[in-house]
Amino acid sequence: MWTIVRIELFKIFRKPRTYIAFGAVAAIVWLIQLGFYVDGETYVQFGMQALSETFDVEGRVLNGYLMAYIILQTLLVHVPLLIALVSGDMVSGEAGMGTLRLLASRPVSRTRLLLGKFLASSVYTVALLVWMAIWTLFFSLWLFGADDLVIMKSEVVTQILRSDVMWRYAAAFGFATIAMVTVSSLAFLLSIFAENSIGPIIATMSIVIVFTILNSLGLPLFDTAKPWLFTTHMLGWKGFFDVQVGPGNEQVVGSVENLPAVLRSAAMLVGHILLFLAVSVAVFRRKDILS
Amino acid sequence: MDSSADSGAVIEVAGLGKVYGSLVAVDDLSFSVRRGDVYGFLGQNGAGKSTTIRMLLTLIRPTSGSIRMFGMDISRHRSEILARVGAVIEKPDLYGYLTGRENLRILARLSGCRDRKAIDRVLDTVGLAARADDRVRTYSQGMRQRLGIACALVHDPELVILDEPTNGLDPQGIADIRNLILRLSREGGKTFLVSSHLLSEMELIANRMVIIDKGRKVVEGECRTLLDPERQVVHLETMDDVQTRVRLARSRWAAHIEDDPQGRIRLSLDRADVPQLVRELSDMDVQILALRPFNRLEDYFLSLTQAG
Repeated sequence: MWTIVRIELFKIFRKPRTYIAFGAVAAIVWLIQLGFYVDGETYVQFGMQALSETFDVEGRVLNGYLMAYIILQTLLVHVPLLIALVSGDMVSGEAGMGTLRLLASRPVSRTRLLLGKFLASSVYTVALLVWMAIWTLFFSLWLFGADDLVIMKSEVVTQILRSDVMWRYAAAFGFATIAMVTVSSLAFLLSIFAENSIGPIIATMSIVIVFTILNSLGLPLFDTAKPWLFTTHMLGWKGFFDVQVGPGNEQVVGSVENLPAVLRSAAMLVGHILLFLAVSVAVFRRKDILS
Repeated sequence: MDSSADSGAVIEVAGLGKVYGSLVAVDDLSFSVRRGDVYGFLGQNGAGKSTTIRMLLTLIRPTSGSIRMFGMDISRHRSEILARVGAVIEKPDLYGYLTGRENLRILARLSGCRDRKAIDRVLDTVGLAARADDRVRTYSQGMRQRLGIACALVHDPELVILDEPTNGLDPQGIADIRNLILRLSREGGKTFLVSSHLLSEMELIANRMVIIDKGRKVVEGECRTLLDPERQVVHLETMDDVQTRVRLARSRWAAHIEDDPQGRIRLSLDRADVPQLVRELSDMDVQILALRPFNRLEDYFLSLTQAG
């Protein structure tokens, strides 16, 4: 299995299209950071206006941790497209090139071949998220410095102590990785049915967009389906930034307000990954390779 | 398991069939390839050759029938069998963004071959050593074909399956591939199954063959037997073919006249009788324009498939 994974990773990282995603992530992050570096203070002051009238706000509100939070919120919605670029090509791209028959006629079982490809696309997804973490978190910290993280939600302001933030980012990136592997496994499944990668990439994005719209619509018709849509759970990483409040209205350091909900979301995503992978294997094992 | 191994059969196909909806691509096909054969797998385009080869390589699931290779059932011993087989299926499509050597390394690993020298050896065999580190997208069609064959040979298989290996090649490229197959067969002791619709090419390399048409076997056997050198079929072209037919029908040659799908005068006779035929036609005042021999595999193939 390791041989197949290594071969697939070698092929992924020798393809120029692989680096589009890394380049795009770096460019978007850098542009947001540049924008905030130049105009960020005004932006933050505007956002903190109401709060400043009541409270005395000290320290650097616009710091690396807040930047990472803002960037993650913006970027994680679009990353699925970058993931689908590679995962949607894993089988369909080989079929289109005519190399799938070359692989499938070697003394390796189709299940192992497919699992090897899936693991390689997952490694790519993890690599992209690590790359994103380096740029969004570490580069932001270097550029804007570190302080407590102040997050403004509709009616609530949460302040998380700087000493309590880093592990939350690690957990959030871990959760985001599961969410992105879910998208990757969907694109991977769709790539088995196609002979060029455009179809699976567009189909993956269409599904993500349609499901996201269904989530945001408050119509009772879709309420039953919502808990079962993977897109409902993809933003579960935000749960790590909701802190439990103690009896004296003080923050409980190291706590998550609704950890069971976050874990449920993670489990739902893992369930989707396993389902997509099982269907992929079942289809691929029986597939006539005509390309 | 041992019976076919003892009989020397490397491939035994029995009652093989593949149906796509209402289309019968392969129909009750049976043939066998013996160890050391250069086995010609002949048929016109769309006859079912590639579908059969894909079934041999487990790329397509047969609708019916069985495939045994090296005495083992392919559905039960897939990996064991494929480790002993190398193949080029239709076009030699490879990873254009990788070099020839990288392509070989990938396929060698997947075939369980870890001998680095094997890659150099096989590059030498197909004459690609000098371009091994160039990207495949810069290769000519002939070079891609040779690299495809190198990929099929890199793990030193006992059986090599080549599907239309001379497609799209110039005459020199065709000759190179032909010589390579003959050399590997004679010196390397490998068994080849080579499909083609270029029958004149097959005539030069195959010792046994099967001809298929519309997914069914038309004939199978030794090329030598099928192309009996003692037997001669001729096409006769005269000033007045209608009169010639009448005169021949009244002569002792009447029994030798054969049906011809294109309406030509065709006679089947012993090679030694040809001069006598010419003499007697002359005595019958038949003005001969041409007397063409008809025993090449291409003619044979066309007559069999068109008769069907």
